[in-house]
Amino acid sequence: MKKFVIQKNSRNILKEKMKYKYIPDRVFIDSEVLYHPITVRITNNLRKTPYEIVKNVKSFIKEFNFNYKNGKKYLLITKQKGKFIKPCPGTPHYLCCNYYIINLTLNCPLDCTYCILQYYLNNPFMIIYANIEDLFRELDSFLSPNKFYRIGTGELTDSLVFDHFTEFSKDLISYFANKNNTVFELKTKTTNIENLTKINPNGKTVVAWSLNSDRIAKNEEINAPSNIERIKTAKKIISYGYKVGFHFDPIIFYPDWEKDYFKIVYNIFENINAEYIAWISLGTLRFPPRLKDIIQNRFPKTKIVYDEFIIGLDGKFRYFKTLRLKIYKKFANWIRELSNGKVFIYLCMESKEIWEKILGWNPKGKRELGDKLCKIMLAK
Amino acid sequence: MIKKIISIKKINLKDDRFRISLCNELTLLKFSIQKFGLLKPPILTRRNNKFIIISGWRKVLACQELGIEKIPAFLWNERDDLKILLFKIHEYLTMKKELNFLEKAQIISKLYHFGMEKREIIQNYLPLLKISPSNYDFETYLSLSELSPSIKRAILKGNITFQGARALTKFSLSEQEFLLPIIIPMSSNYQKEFLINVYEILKKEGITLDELFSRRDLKEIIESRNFSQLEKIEKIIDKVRSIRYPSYTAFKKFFELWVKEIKFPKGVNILHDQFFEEEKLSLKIKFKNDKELRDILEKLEKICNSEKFKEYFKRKDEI
Ligand code: SF4
Repeated sequence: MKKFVIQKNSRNILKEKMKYKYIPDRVFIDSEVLYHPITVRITNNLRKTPYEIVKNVKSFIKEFNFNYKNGKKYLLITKQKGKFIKPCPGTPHYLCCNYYIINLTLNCPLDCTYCILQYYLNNPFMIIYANIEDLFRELDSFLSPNKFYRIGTGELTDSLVFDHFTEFSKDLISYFANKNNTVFELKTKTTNIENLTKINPNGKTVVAWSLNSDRIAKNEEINAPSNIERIKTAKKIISYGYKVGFHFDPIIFYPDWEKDYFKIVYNIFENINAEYIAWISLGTLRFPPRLKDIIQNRFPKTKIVYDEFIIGLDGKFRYFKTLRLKIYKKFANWIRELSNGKVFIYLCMESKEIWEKILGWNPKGKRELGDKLCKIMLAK
Repeated sequence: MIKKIISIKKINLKDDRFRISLCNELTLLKFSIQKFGLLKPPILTRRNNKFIIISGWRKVLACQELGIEKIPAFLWNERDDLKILLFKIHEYLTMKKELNFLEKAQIISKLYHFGMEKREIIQNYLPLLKISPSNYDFETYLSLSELSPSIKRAILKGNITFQGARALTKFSLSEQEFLLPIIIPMSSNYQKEFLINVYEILKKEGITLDELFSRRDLKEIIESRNFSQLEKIEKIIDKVRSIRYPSYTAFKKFFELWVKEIKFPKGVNILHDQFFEEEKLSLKIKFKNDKELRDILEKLEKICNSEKFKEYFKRKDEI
């Protein structure tokens, strides 16, 4: 196996590319999926990118001594040998929304300072699983006709960041278009919606954008489009039959947070009719203690880890409760006022007490919230 | 290796490239040399027409302090520094008692600076040193080896723990010197917490250590003549904590005052989780018989009806 010299200015090159669309520097292909139609599709779409065949993926990953940042330039197409679908891990003591995750791609070429993947993933490659037919088989046996499901791809990756060459959105949206009890969600920070415009979601797909204040988007969401670009893209996708969602997560506290975040909430409703918004979720910054060290080492200039965090009941850092309450209260009021109460708000990983105080109710168990979100969306 | 008698003057004591242990405590060793002589001679090699020490630093220093001019030594004619270092490390690992964390840091730093690949150190040497083989630990130990000499001396005297030392690595050498007299009287738990709080305040507010300690509230404590040294240290720790965690410390103080003012009956304790994250408080009652319990419950009922008691719940709900 050849070793590659990393170009000195690779970070800048990556940034330049990301302004448009992510193109890896090199594609590694697991020999097991070399002739798979998805591999062929990807290599056709990445015609100019050199590729190399890998015989033993495990030892290849082990030998390839790349750090998290450099790994962003390398794409690995391989086979998912385990399960594609997993319940969102949630966290003890805080309410979870009964979300299921599809892991068809892993990792993300954007580089948000707060990204949990820096801590969570054990290799730095951008990974694409080619065996999508196994995913559909797994979905067929997993989805029961008597239950509601919310399922999405944006937990361990950005749902659309690779879509211009994987075209997975087309496969997945078509699959879910025929399911009456399932809401499929694509979560993204990108403007990569071209493939979505070519297909009819039949009211079953929500495209959701993570939003932040402009200051946080600029300083902490490296390589990601601006908030206004995200909102404008959301506006555009509505005309193709999609509902949209927004996730203010992580909301980050700093002296001017109120003014800055209000502007973004206002921008949403200035551009988008509340009827088309499936939900807006809120979650303040939280992270496992070990991620703090990683953030400090990788991003010495960021200040986001130095605010008033306490150790929550799940062992993760989160803002002191009074601060969280203050933040959520403001957001909930803004959204209610600007949408005339038409948009469903939920909190991500918060306690019953905070739900009750901010939203006036709390879901009895995770099924209730998950089902409610599905029904709201399917009724829209 | 050949054994020779060497003049101590011909040894370059400034060149400590192979030195791992920084311990300079020589009393016992001097006593032993006076009584029995130098039983195990040091090992030297030659660089730039002078001898340098491979192992036996303390022996050479002890002899020098005893006024001995010539000592027996083994000479190893080896040009490859890394090879010598590896020999020395293996000698350490097989012969010496448990290495302290500064010695481990020295070993890691020397291996790295003598040109060994980071990956090889992590995979092969960290486990030998009983350190988990991770990049994180590698970087931690590397930065421990770069602590200021006075901090290293304080560590060797047992005045700074591993956690405290690790927190100190985030500061520049001059900042370390500034902080040293403040942290030495602190117990080990507080050293780490205090240093992390100081570092994070500097980062968050973009100020220097000087600027932080020139704040009026901190300066007043430092300059006050009304407190003993220990009281001062306690107050500094508290003040820094409240600058770092203003809402939490204010709420905690409010809670403590509330409990004090309510005057719960004897045997009753009102408890909260560490960071007030749980919605509920809990109550612990100790009693020796039914009468005592009844008394306590009666008093508690009165307390529950008081306005003071409700204050906490109002404050908790305030946003
Ligand atoms: S977009 Fe999401 S997955 Fe990608 S780096 Fe940012 S937080 Fe991580």
